[in-house]
Amino acid sequence: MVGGLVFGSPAWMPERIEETFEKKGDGSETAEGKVAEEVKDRTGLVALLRKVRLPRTSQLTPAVIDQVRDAGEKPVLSLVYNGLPTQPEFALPGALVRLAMEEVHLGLMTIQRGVMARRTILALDRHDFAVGAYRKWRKIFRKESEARAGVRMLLNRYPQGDPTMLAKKLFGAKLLPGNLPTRVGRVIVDPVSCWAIGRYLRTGQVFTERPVQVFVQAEEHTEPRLVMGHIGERLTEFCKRYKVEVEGKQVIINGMLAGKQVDIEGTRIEAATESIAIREPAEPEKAAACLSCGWCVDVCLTRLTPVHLMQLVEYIDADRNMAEVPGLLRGKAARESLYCIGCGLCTYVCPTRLPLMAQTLHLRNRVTTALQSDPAGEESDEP
Amino acid sequence: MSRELGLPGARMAEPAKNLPPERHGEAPFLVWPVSRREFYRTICIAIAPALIWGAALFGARAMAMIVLAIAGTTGMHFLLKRGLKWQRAQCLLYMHGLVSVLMLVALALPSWPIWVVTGCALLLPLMLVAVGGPGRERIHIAVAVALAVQYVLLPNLQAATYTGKGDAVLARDRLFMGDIRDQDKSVKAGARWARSRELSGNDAQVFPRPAVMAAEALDAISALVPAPPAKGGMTELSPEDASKIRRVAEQAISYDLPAMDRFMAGVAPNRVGAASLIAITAAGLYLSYRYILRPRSVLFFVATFIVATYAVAVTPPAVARMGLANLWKVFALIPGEMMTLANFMLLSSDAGFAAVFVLALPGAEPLTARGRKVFLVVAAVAAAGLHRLDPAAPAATLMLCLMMPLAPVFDRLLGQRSWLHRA
Repeated sequence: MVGGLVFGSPAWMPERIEETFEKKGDGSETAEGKVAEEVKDRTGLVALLRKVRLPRTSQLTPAVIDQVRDAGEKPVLSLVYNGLPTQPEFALPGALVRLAMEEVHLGLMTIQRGVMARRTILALDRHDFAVGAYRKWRKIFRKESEARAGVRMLLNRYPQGDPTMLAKKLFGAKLLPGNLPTRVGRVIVDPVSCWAIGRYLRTGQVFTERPVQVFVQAEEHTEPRLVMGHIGERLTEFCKRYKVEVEGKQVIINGMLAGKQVDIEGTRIEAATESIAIREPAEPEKAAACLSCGWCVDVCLTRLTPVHLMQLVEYIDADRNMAEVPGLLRGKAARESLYCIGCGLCTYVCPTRLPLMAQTLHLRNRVTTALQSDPAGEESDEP
Repeated sequence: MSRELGLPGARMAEPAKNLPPERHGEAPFLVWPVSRREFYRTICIAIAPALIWGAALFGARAMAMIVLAIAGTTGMHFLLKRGLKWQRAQCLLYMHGLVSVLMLVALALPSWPIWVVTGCALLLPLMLVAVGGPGRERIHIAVAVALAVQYVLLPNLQAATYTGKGDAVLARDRLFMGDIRDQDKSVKAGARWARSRELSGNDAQVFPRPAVMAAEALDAISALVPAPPAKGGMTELSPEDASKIRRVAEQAISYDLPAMDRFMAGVAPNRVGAASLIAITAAGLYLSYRYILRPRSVLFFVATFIVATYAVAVTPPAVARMGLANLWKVFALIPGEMMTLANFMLLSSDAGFAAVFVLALPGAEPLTARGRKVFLVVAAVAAAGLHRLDPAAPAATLMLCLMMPLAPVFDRLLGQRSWLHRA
C-alpha cells in the first residue's frame, strides 16, 4: 500500500437516467442551448447560478457559487473539472459524460467564461468506463476555439477525487480539508453542477432534481441504477416511486466509505445526495487491540498516523486526564487531526476493525472547538 | 493492485465502546475482508514451504518437532478457550497462536530436543494470555522463547539432555525420514551431497555451518595481515603474506565450504525454517503481494545488512593495522575469494529469514516511514556486527526482536507531520 487504494472501475455503467416524472421548463428566454450572453464575468455567473438555484451538488466539491464569490476579483489560475468519482463504487461522472455530454460541456463552458481562469483542466479517471470520455472531450474541444482546456487522465487511487488530493496531484498545492479551492487560486467543479447549468441553458429547467445512484443489496443480484431524484423529496417517497424496498433495511447515503447512515423517515433528497445504498443491517465486528500492522498509516494520503490519533483522543476523553486536556488539544499531535480528509480508508483496511476515522474526526472536532473557544491562546508545539 | 468494492454488504466496523451512541453507524460501512485471522493465516501459509523444506532436509526430528508443536499449541489453545472457558483466554486468536508456534519451530535448530520445543509450544498460549493476546505483545513471544531456549535453557540443560551433536544435513536418499543425529564425520562438507551408503550407513552428513567456516577463514586472513612496523606507519603485504592469504581462502572455498549451487538450493545446516533461501524468497514475494510485508522495508534492511557485512568482513583490528587504503590491496589480491567468503557469511546468516518472517509480524517495525528507515538501518548494522562476532547466532532475528519494544520510540522521535502542515 502506498497511500490510497486503487479499486478499479466500478462494475456497472447505467444505460440511462431513469425518470418517473416529466421535465418542466420555466419558459426562460435563455433556453437556447448556448452559453448565456450575460455570463461575461463572475458577477454574471453568480447571477446565473442564482437563477439555476444551484447549491453544493457534491459531498466533496464545494458549491460553485461559493467558490466564485470567494474568488472575488482575484485571478483564478485554473478551473478544474473533477471527473473522478468521489467514492469507489460511483459511476456518476462517467455516466453523465456518456448520457448528457452536451449539458455537461455547456455548463463547463459557461463556468469557464464566467470564472475567466487562465486555463481549464479536465481531471478524468484513467480506468473509467467512459475513458472514451477523453475522446469525446477532445472532439468537442477541437470545435471550440475558446476552450483552453487540457485533459489529465489520472489513476483513480481513492480518494483522488477529493479536492485536497486533486489540488496536490495537479498543482502541488496544499488545500486544507474543508477549505475552498479558491484559497489556492483554483476553482473545482463537479459534473452535476456543470450538467445542471447546461440543462438550464438548454431546457430552462432550474435545479429541482438531480441524478442519484441507487445501490440495493437483494437476494437476487440487483444492478445499481441511476435515477432522477427530486430535491427535497422524502426518501420514503423516492424509494416508493422507484419500487425500492426499505422496510427494516439500513440506508446509507453518499458512499460506503465516507457516507452516513440515515433514518429513512426523516431524510430527504438533497442537492448533494449522490447515492443511496440500501442493504440488510450488517452484523458488526468487534474491534480488537491494535496490531501495529501500520496499514492505516500506509493508506493515509495526508500522511497521518490514525492509530496514534485514536489513542490520543481516547486518552483525552478518559476522565482521569482532565488537567492535561487543554494542552493536549492545542498540541502538535492533536492538530494533525485537522488534516484528515475523512476518506475512511484507515478504518476500511484495519484488520482489527478499529474506528480510526470516527475517532480522528472526533478529535478534530474537539481541537477545532478548543481553538475557536480560545483563539488568543497559543498553539503548543508540545506533542 | 485493485480491489473490487462491489455492492454494499460487507461487515461493518463496530465503534469503540467509549463512543457516544449517536456515533454508531458511522462510515465506512464496508471493511476490507482481511481481518486478524486472514492476516495471520497469510503468514502461516508463507512460512509453510520453508518448514516443509526444513522437514525434508533435517528429517524425522524436524517433522516431529513441527507436528508436536502445532498439536501442543492447538490443544492448549482449545483447552483454555473452549474447554476451561477461561475468561482471560478469550482474547486468544488461534491463527496468532499458530503463527507463533510456527515461528518457534522455524527458529529451532534440528538438534534441539523435541520435548523442549513441544514444552514451549504448550506454554505459548499461556504466555500469550499473560500478555493479553494479539496486539498486546511488546516483543514477539515466540521469537523471544526461541532465543531464550538457545541462550539460556539449553546451555543450562547440557548436562541433563542430549544436545551434543553438531550441525548436519541428511543424506540425499534419507530426506524426510532420516535421523539428523545419526551422523558420519568422515565425509567433508565441501564434498558432494552424499548418499547414506557413502556415510557408512549413517543418515546424516556432518556439515559445519558455512557462516562459521567463512568467518573462520576471514579471521585467519585478518590474522595474516602483518603488524605495523615498530616505528609506526602503515604496513604493506609481502609476497609471502599474499601467498598465505591466498592459500587460506582457497582451502576454505575448495574443501570446507559447500558448492554454491547446492548451498543456494538449501542444502546446508541451518534452523528448521531458515535453510531454503528459495522458500524464504517465495514467502517474501507472497507476503508482499498480500501487503503483509513492505518490500521497501525488506530491501532496506537486507541492503544495509549486505553493506555492513562486507564492511566488517575483514576484522576492525586488521583494518586498523593495514589502514583503509591498504585494505583494498587484500581485496585486490583475491577479489573473487573474498567476495565468495563474504557471500557465504551473508547468505548463511538469518538476515533473509528475519527480513521476511520477523518483519512480517505486526509491530516488528515502526509505523512511520522515517522511523522505519532509521530503525532498520540501526538493526541491520547491529545485526551484521553481531553476525561477524558470532556467526552461529541468529543475529538479525535477535536484533529485530530486541529493538521491537523501541519501535514506538522511533515513531515518536522521527515521525513526520502531514504534508498539509503549514498549508
